[in-house]
Formats: sequence, C-alpha cells, structure tokens
Amino acid sequence: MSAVDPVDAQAMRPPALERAPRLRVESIHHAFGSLVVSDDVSLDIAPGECHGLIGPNGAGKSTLFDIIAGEIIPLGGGVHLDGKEITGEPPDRRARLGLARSFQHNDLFAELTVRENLIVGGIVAHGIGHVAWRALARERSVCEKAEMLAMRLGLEDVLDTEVHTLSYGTRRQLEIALALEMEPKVLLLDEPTAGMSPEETVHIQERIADSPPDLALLIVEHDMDVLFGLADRVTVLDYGRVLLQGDAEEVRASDIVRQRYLGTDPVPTTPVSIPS
Amino acid sequence: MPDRDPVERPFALVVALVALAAWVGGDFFMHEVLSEIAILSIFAMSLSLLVGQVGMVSMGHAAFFATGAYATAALTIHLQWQVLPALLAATLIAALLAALTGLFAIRTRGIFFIMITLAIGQMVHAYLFKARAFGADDGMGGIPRMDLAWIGLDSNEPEVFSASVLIIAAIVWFLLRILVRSPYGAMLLAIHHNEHRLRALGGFVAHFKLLAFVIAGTIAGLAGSLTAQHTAFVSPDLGFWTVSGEVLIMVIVGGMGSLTGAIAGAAVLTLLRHTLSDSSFWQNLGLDSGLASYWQFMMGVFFIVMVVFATDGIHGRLRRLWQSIKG
Amino acid sequence: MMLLDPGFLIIQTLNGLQLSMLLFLLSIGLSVVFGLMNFINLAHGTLYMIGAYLALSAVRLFDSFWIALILAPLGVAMVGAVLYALLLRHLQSRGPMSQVLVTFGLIFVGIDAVRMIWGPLPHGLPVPDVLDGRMEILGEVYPTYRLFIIAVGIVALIGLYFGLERTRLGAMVRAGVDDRTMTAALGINIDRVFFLVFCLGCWLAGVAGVISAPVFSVFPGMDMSILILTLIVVVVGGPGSLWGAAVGSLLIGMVDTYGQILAPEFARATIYALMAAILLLRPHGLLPARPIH
Repeated sequence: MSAVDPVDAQAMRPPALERAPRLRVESIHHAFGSLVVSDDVSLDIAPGECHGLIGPNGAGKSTLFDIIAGEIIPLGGGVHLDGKEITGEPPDRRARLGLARSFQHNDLFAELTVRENLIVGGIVAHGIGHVAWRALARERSVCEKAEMLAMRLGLEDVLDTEVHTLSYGTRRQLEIALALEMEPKVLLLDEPTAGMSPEETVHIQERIADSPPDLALLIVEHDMDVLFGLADRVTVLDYGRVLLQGDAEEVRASDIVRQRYLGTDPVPTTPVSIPS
Repeated sequence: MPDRDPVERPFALVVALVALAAWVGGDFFMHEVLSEIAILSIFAMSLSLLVGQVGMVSMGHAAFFATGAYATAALTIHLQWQVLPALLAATLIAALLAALTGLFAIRTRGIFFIMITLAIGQMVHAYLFKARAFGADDGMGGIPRMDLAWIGLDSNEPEVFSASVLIIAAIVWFLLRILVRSPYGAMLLAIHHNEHRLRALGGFVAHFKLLAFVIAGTIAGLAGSLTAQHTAFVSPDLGFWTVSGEVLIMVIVGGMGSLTGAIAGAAVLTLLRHTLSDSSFWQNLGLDSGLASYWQFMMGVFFIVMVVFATDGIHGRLRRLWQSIKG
Repeated sequence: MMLLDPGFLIIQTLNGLQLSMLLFLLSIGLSVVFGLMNFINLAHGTLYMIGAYLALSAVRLFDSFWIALILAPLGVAMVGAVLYALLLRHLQSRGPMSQVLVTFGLIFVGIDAVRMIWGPLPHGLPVPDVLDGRMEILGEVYPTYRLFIIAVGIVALIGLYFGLERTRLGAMVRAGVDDRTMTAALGINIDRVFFLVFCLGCWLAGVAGVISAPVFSVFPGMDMSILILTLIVVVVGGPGSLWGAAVGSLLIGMVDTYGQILAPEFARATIYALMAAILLLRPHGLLPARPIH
C-alpha cells in the first residue's frame, strides 16, 4: 500500500485486504483548467470487497468514476486492475479486462427491447461480435442466457418491450444487469438507487448483495442506509481530496459523516483524525 | 436481432416476383431499366447497411462506386484484362480505398461524419476529373461486359445482362441479410442506438464500424464495376457528391434499415426519373412536353416531401400496415 | 520559376484574396447558423445563385448595378425567410441527415427554378462604370472591380466584428453559440435570434451573388462548385466563429488559387484532403467558437 491513513491504521484490517487488490487507484490527480477535481486520491479494493464512495456534490466522485472507467485520462497517478496498469487504456479495453460500470443516468439501448439489450451484452461477453456469417438465433447460449438473466431480474413479462417504455426503476435494474452480464472483476456502480421507490431500492440492494462473491465493487450512493448496508469500506471525498477512508463502521461513527450525511449531531467521543 | 422485422421477407418476395415478371414480360427498354435498377439496388443496399444498420450517414459513398467503375474501365481497356478478373480486382480496389479512408472517417460522428465523407467523395471526384490517365473530365468509353460465352450466353443482350445483374443483386441481398441477422449485425445495431454504451460494455466499436464501412465500400465498388459494364462508359460524374445524395434518398424512400427497402427505393427513384424526364409522359397527361426538361425540379420536390413526411419510407409504411392488421 | 516573379505573385495573391472574400461572405452566415443550431443548409449556394439572378433582373429593370446591389440581397433574404418559415424551421429537431437531404432537394429545385425563369443559357452582368477600369497596385495593373470585391469582403468582416461585439443581437448570438441551453434559460428567444441570423446569412449570400456576377458568368448550377468550397471553409475554420470563417476563407481561397496554377491535377483534391486532415486533428476547426473541454 502506498499510504496508510490513520483511521485504517487503528483498525483491524478486514481479511479481504490481505489478498492483492483487484482495483488499485493510486495518487490520482486531475483538474479542469484551474479547478482541481481530484487531488491525490488513492484507494484499493480487494476481491469481494464493496467500497463506498461518498461526498457532497462536486466532491469529484463522478470524475473519479470516469477516470477509473477510462472516460477521462487523469493528469497524474495511476489505475491498476489486477496488478496491471490501465491508466491510459480506453474504456472498451478496460471493459474487456474485466471492469464494468453502470451509469448514473440510465445509458441503455433505449429503442431496443429488454431481450435485445441483454443479447447485445451477451454477444460482447462471449466475444462473438465478429461473427457475421451465422444467424444470431443459432447462438443458443447467448439467447438463453439473456432469458435467464431477465427471469432472475423479474423482467420476463417485459422481455420484448422496448426499454424506453419501461419504468425508471426497471431500467435501472437492467442497467446493473447489463454491467453484471459482463462477469466483471470490478464493478463501478454510480448511484444505483437514485430516483427509485423504497421497494425498488430493496430490489436493487438484493441484486447487488447477490453479486458474485469475489467481485470488487465501487459504489457511489446518496442513500446512506443503502451505502452503509452494502459497503465494507468507505472513502469520503471532499473538494477532490480524501477526507476520510476506512471501515464502514468507523466512517459511519465519525463526526464528520454523522454531521454531514447522517443528519445527527456528533456524539462527543474521541476525535477522529483527518488526514491532511 | 431476433426477428424484429416480420415484413422484410414477404416484402422481398413481392419485390422478387415483380422483378421476375418485369424481366419475363419486358421489352428491350424494360431490360435496360431493370439492369439500371438492379445495379443501383446493389449500390443502395450497401449504403443501407451503413446508414440503416450502423447509423453512419455517408455523403461520399459514390467515391467507391466510381472507384469500382474506373478500376474496371482501366483494367479492361488499358491492361486488356478479362472482365471477370477485372470485376474482382475493381471490387478489391474499392475495398482498399474504403479501408484507407474509413480509418479516418470512423473517428468522427454526426454532421462531421457527413462532412468528412463528403470530402472523401469529392477528393475522388476531383482527382478523376483531372486525371489524364483516366480521360479526365471526358471519362472513358468502350468497356466490355462480362464474358458469359462459357455458359453459352451473350451478355451484350439486354435480357442476359439484366438477368445477370438481377441475380447478383439477389446474392448481395442474401449475403447482407445473413450479416444483418448475425451477432455482428446486432453489434452494428447496438452502435446505431448507443455507441457509447457498447464501448463501455467492451465492444470493439471502432473495428465494427470500420468493417461495416469497408463492406459497404466493397459492395458499392461491385455496383460501380457493373455500371461501367452496363453503360460501357465511365465519367467523373459517377463520383460526384450529388450521386451519394441521391443514393441516400433511395435508402430513405425505401425505408431505413431495410435491405429490400433499398431495392424498392432504387426502383422508385429510377422509374420516377425516367418517367418525369420523358416528354411523352407529359403529353399523355395533356401538359406541355417541355415540362420533361424540368424533371430535376420535380425530383427535388419529391426528395423534400419524402424526407419531411415519410421518414420511415416504404418499408416503414408496410410495417405499420402489418401492425394495424395484426392488432 | 513563376513563383519568383513578384508581379505574378501579386496578381495571384489578389485573385486568391478575391475568392477568399466571396467565400467569407458565403461562409459566415452558414457558419454562425451551424454554430448556433447545428443546422446545416446545403441550399446556401442556391441562395447565392438566386442573388446573382435577381441582380440580373434588377439591372435590366433599373439599369443600375447599385440598385441591384441593394435590392437583390434583400430579395434573397426574403426567399430565405420564406424557406425558413415553411420548411427549415420544422427540421431543427431532426437529425443532421434530414437537414442535409431536404436542403439537398432544394438544390435541384433551385437550379431548375432559375432555368425556368431566366433560361438555361449563361448570362453576363456588365461591370458598373465607376469601377470599370484598372488600377495600379504595387506596380501591377489590376481590374478595379476585383479590388472592389476584396473591399466589400473586408468591410463585411469589420461590420460583422463590430456587430457581434457591440450590438445586443451580437451578444445574444455569441451567448447562443457558447451555450444554447443556458442562453435560452436566460429568457432570450433563441429561435428568433436564429431566424435573424439565418436571414442575415442569406442576405450576405445574396451580396456575394450580386458582386460575383460581373466577374463570373451567371448560369444554373453556378452554386454547385462554390457550395462545396463554402462548406469546407465552415468546417476548416470552425463552425460558429467569425475569425474561423475569415481564416478558413483566406486559407481555402489561397490554396485553391495557387493550387490551380501549380498543380492543376491535384488542386481540388488537395483542398479536400486538407479539410479531412483538419477535421481529424482539430475536430472543431482551426478557430472554434466554443471552448473545448
């Protein structure tokens, strides 16, 4: 590890961290003109770990996501996937190396049906996109897998409905299913429950909790109950810097988080040190 | 995608039957028109793959058509090649040009893709217009047709040539239909609908687009080679940007994303042009036969009306008709 | 070598400048409309042609080039306004393909319309008496009228510069090109701004048509070759940018003029290659109007 932050140093490391990190983000620095949006941001995510990312609007969460996903190439620092440096790789290459993401605003094939969306995902996942001489219908495994996935999501009734006609929550589910269909090593989830009803939120939570055991997850979420319900570790970003990083329970207990995010007054306990 | 389109096959069957009937019952003039329509159909189908399936609106597709035509002319006249090898070589040359220019073109999107393909098309036209080796603005004449003596036929007979190009058009339709229904076809459709998401999923978006551009260019080159054989003549006009525009209109008239639609669009536009520019047509209507010389005016109005009011074309209309019958 | 002869250089540079200024008059309207609404109008060349033909009729009627120079561009602006109200307005929400194809159809309609009205044969327009001479410039004799064309272009550039920088409409245009949504949110009627800019662009195309008529012949289809050059200027200079259009016009005008002399076989092809190269290296043109993130 590059730098051990104070919170983490005091805590017992979760056993997951003893394995090599799936995703390592190292001293990321990025700015738009004079506006610094990422300032020395580092984090590691081990296989099976769910890492939460919180911070106020403009804290640089989305930028960090875009940097990890390859939409933005940072000015400094590095991104490593399974020990392999991917800082300069384009998004599609990262995706093929096992990094999947869902988008904050649903980014689906809106005029295609649910089935077709899942089939497109399946073709990419199976690497048969170059097959131009065989009918798609003969790629049984892809078609059947799409149906199975839809079943698991409870979307079998809308299988042949065009996506743009579906409810927001359903589209959100499909968004995550599409990312999971790639069988990624690392999954980035950008506000997975934003704009969803409580019922749908529970659904999504189950879906995320249900993901493969060794998947490394990075999740941005405004609903603190959802976030702390899922995350093993949490990073707090503010003005592009890491304000706090550590086990979920510790971060949850910290004054800053209680004050700013959980809406409760700080309990007078031992002050939490803030890394400078 | 899994049988999105219930209309395409019956539509194709009807078009094939109409073509067959026209060929069987046609006279000399009808066979000439059929050849022209078949060749333009091949050209329009190639653009339909690009525009309808991938959403890449090219305004320079005529460049590959002209390349195929000129390569055939140069190989048969300058180098005295046989027509069939010249046809294959011409198609290959068009493919190479498409690969070379596609490398640059696919990096742009939307209106910029339109502009860069327009520039590519005009580059080819400007070169042919000045190139003395290819007859500059006079073009080249005296191009022979493919030799069919080995099956006892003479391709200089209009019914033989029209049958040959109709069969080639049918083969192109079948091949493209296989491609469109394949996993690769699904990738192209996915690019059309959301290129960004396909890239985020890990799709080889640039490769897929380049390949589509090359396939479309190759088939346009084939159509170009056939038109050189049909008219025995090539001129720089074949590559002018308005030709690209007219083929694009054929695709729109037929219905975007439908191969059969492209054939129907080619037929409608070709017949309309022949009709409107025929003075006896206007005389029979009891109008001034001089109106025939203003056929471009009427075609222009037709283009505008079709693009503004009938965006989904013939195929789209048929599909809606089908849906209203079904439920 | 021709290039070492200063007289040759001066004459050709003036010729290039003259083409550049015509291209500037044509491209600036197209460019701002493109920058403002992402709207591409292939019939812009047709408006230029109509300007030349209207000048022809005005000269026949009033026997004065100057009255033609006032009336014909106004006529072109009116044609543009009608086209906009009846047709183009409805295409704004459509994709670029519909705009390209509809205005493509208009080209054919335009060519045959002028053929119907003015006949298929080329016409000439006499140079106005005041300008019908030659002037000595840097030791070379050059037709006064051609210098007049260059002057009109320069006046237009200066006028547009002050119009954009100093007037309310200019400020709205700049704001609209910069960030359309934000400008609309400020309560500015962006559609009306667009309409005015569109008409102004048509008017300028009309001016270009009138002043080019005495130099080039007036014929159906005169719009075709200049249209493509104009589009190239817009793309090369950067859509929506005054200086982009000016620099693009200068570049294309000069490259075309010198290219036709030095390498006639490749001149036009070179220009298209230049455009393709610029599109790839600087997708937003040489001097883009919008800041690039």
